[in-house]
Amino acid sequence: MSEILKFTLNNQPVEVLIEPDATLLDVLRDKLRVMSPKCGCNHGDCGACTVMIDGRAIKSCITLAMTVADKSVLTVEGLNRGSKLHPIQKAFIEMGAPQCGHCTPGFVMAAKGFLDKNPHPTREEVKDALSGNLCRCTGYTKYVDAVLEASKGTYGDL
Amino acid sequence: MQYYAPKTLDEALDILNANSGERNILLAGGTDVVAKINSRPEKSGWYDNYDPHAKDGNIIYLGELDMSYVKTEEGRIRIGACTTMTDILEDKTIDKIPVLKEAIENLAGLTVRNAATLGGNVMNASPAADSVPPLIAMNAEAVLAGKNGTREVPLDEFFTGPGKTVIKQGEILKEIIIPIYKGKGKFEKVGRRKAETLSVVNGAAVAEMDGNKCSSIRIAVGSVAATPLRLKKIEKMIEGKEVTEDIIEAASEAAAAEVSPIDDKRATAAYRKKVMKVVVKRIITGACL
Repeated sequence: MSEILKFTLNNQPVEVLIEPDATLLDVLRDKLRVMSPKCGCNHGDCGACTVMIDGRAIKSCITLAMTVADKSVLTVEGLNRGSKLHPIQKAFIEMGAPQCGHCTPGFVMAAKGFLDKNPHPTREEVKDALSGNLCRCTGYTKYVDAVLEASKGTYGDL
Repeated sequence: MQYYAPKTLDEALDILNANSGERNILLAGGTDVVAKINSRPEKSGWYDNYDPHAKDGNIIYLGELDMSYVKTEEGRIRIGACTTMTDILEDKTIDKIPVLKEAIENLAGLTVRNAATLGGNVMNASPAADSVPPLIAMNAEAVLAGKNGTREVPLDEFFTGPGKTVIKQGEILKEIIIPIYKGKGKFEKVGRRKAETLSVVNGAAVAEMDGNKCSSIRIAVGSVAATPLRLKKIEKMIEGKEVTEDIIEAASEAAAAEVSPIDDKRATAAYRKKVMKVVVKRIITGACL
């Protein structure tokens, strides 16, 4: 039985007709054509699907879409301030974190969710916060470097 | 498939009872349930009673039921079943029961903890659940709500098999009640990586000491049997005695006889037994010395 789902996506109200067992990842990509979150494993292990829901970084493939009713969802598409990159994105690019780029949007949202609450982390804290994000290109060191550098304000105010 | 988002516990119980003959999937954070919905059927005891491809049934979302809270009362803490792991960690109350804090900090990863709930970890009833050994070691109780009222079940009597608990048709887990312990506690987890890993062996102990003597201790281990286990025999080896390295060594050796681990894709039974001795040694040492 299809259901109507209303929520806020990147600061805009949206409304979609979906199946009750659809995940937020399904809805973002297939219904709303928001393509930054990726499907890597579809069971909550790889983090390529990470988005932010009500200010928290959460894996969208294990979030039932209906449960975000009336909540606020943020993806990479919502980070751009006009045509400007977010400091986390700048840090990733300039410090060479993305290789194939498949895991990158997940890392961006996980990093943002973490830095919003922990603006001055240690390296160990960054590693722990990103432990839900896997990178098959093994770009980990540069992701951690970039998040740390971004936290220092090097690429702009967070 | 039908989706419900009841606003009150009574409404949720009514839905459960109205559809008692159907497959009712209770959903909180979804970090276990939605993963199962997404998966292909597998032949393991874990998925036996859950066919993710069956399109019938009801998903009952519990997130709007006001079961997300950490309340301190005289000598005990009550945590709502839908409280996320992150919410628990961010509440200062957790410092009163640090053994649970230690377990939750080692449970999954940050992005999973942001959605995963304490009630979900308990009701998913994995023998490897990380929050359960500390709950058993603290003598916590699960509060089950039904149309006729609530009942409390101690966590060490709550699990009957992998994925199975004593919950009855028509009941919902409402909260976990945790007595605030006076002594010290220790949680230990062995996994194949540092985070986001299912435990190969885990365990927790909470003990109260009288000088060098242990006046009381509760020890629980997970991932080494069909359910998380309380090691009552091992507790008796320590209670009332002066806690020395020899006693701890003997206790950890004896613990191996109390468990029945299996070979699975994460580890062999032999490895689990070997490592469990170290886990038991560390949790007793941490709780007593």
